[in-house]
Amino acid sequence: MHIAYLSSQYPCLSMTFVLREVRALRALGWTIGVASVNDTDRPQERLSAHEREEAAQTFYVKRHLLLGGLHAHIRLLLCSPRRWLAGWARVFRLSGYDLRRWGLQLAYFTEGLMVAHWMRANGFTHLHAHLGSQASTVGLYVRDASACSFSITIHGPSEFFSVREHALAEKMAEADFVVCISFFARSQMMLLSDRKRWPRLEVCRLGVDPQRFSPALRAARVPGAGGFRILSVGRLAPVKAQALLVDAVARLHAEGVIIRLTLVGEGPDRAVIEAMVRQAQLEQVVVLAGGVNQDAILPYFADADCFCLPSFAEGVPVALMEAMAVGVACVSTYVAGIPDLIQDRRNGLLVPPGDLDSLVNALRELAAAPDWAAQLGEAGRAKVLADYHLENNVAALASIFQRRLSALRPTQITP
Amino acid sequence: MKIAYLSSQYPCLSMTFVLREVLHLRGLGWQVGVASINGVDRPPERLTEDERREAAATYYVKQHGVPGALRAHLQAAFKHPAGYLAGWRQALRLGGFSPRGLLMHLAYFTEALMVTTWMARGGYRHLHVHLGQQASTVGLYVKWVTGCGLSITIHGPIEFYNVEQHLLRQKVADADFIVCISHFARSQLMMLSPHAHWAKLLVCRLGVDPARFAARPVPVRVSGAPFQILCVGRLTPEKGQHLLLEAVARLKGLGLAVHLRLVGAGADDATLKALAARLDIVDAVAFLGGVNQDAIRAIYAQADCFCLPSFAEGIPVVLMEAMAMQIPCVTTHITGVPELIEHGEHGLLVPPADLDALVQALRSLVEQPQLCDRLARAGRARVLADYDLPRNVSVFAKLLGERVA
Repeated sequence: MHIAYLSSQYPCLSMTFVLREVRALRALGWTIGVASVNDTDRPQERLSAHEREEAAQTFYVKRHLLLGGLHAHIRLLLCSPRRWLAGWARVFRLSGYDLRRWGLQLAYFTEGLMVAHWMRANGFTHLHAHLGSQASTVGLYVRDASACSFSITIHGPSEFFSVREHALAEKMAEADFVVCISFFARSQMMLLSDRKRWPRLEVCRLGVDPQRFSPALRAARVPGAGGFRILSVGRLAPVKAQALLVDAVARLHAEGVIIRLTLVGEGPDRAVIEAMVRQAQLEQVVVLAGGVNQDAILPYFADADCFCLPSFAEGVPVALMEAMAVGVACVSTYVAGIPDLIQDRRNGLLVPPGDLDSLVNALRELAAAPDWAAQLGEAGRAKVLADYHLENNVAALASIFQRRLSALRPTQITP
Repeated sequence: MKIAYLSSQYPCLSMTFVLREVLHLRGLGWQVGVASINGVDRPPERLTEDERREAAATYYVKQHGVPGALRAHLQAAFKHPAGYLAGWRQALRLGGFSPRGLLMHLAYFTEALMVTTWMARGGYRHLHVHLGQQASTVGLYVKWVTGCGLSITIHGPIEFYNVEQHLLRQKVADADFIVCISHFARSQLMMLSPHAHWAKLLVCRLGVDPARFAARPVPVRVSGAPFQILCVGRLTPEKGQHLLLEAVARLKGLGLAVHLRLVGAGADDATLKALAARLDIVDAVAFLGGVNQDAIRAIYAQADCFCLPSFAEGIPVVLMEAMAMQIPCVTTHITGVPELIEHGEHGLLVPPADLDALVQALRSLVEQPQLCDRLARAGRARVLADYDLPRNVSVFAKLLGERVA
């Protein structure tokens, strides 16, 4: 199998699932090429070993945008003016007479032409875009320029906040098939598309490697030593609601619960959270550990008494799967695909998003009952082994690719 | 106490909660005036008694046409010159570089000016708007022009699908306070607003009148009579009725006697009927069309279970109605729904779009009358505890009283 992947940023801390999927598919003997619209999110020296390997062989679109873009436009105009015009027609259709959006779509069109050129040069005839946002919009233009076959993985939630902006209905119309990472994501695509296209939708879950994320890591841990240790891993951003978690920790601290919170991740909310911590005088209680890459994340999971992700919106968070695989009791929210992963009080705790009282109660309850926390942790690991096992799920994805691609008539890329 | 309400359509079948809230507030001694941007959704003869009375007293913005619009522009320019200019500035800014956007915002601005003159005539100083979409955008303009008090009830989920277009950030920033019908709705606004504004976001639940929707006598199942599944909701993609038809076909395939009643009208009517024909379950499905509040209870009373397989919801009032009438419910674990129903406690929750799980859940109800009974009782208890309309409107009235000058 020969598949080109397209991502908006690769490798990227908040999308390690793409990297894992690509490497797992390669391990099956497939040829996977990756194009990334933007450069990596960190400088070389802060990448993990796997990420460096990937970065070295990724095609970075924006690095060549000016000359490469001009070249790609001229080339397509000369070779296939009809396709070039089809791309322009889409630019106008998707920008709806709005000048700002017109500029954006023109950029996506240009990037699409460059990806099409790269695919042709490397012999790829199928494009798979991760996420329903920018990367798959670029994918629409690749499709216009090359008539390759095209598929998308939809994660949510950000594409569901601006369904018009992200042209999700148009993507459903163009893609040969769409892989959804949860039934929730599938339901949202069903909502946005004509019923006769529903058969294009597949559900294939993400997963983690339960050998790497193993309870053995926690053998040396002394539960509750130095207080109840809460870990949260995720970009510091409003959608992840770390500010609410700091509010919750402040309440528990004021009640006299001995507690520690470690926030792993970097992001736009850092200043806000630092200010909250200072104002509540929680410097001894809350630690902002910054961004931590996959090579260094395990000790954080090994040490935690509880993992808390109080998000307002999510796909199905891989960080939760990792924590569950390690056997850490998890507290999260009833949003999007999370209730597919966690069943309240069976393999973790769920609270309504934004509900501070419920969040405080859930954390307090866990802090007071270490045995129960251990039981939830074990049940969490069992859930991951059953449904979110990376190897099994990549095998399922591979069979989806195989089945779908063999059903499509192989189409030859023309420039 | 005096308050002006603004809604996109009033009265309206799919938003009976606005009507109930208005009537209850009046019952508590509030003077509530209602403006509606669009006309009523049905001809007068299909309105209930309450609705007819409301329709007669409502100010319908669009009814006043171009002359009304021009008059409103002139009046506002004289009466609130600074606010009038501010309104123009916002319309030009928000219309952006798109001619269509510009036209839309000019329309919102103009509608707002008409609401402004209506509020001035009635002596209203505070405007409360239901839903985070167009009506509350009009409300924003009213606030910008006159500086009146503004509050909004946010239900979700439609406004959350296009947060930029619906100016949700701006609405949180400029409204005096926002009433959210669920923690979920509140969380979606928290995500869009700085921590400092979170205190403006209040949670106040909707509800049903548990006296009106009283526990129904448990239907006696004649042996051989099919298990009655009821679904109430507009026939639109977000309600997921197509999936329910497929589930019914599967249940019949398993040899279970089931019958489905679909109450509601909408765009999906034709495709649903076609699907029922294709699945060969025409005899097992009744399409009852739109049914008003006076007639709905008799239909609930005959149901063995209520099913709402939605892909997107606020917290559905129809679920509260079914639960209040002590009917076991099957629905999806989306948005605010898990705040109403804990899976296995007050009803059954399944992932949206998961046909296998839906079939499984319905099957367990068909086969286990005791489970039905337990869920039904717990469901009514849940509504009595947290979704009691008179109590929740009193809470809402108290919130309003503390904040409306």
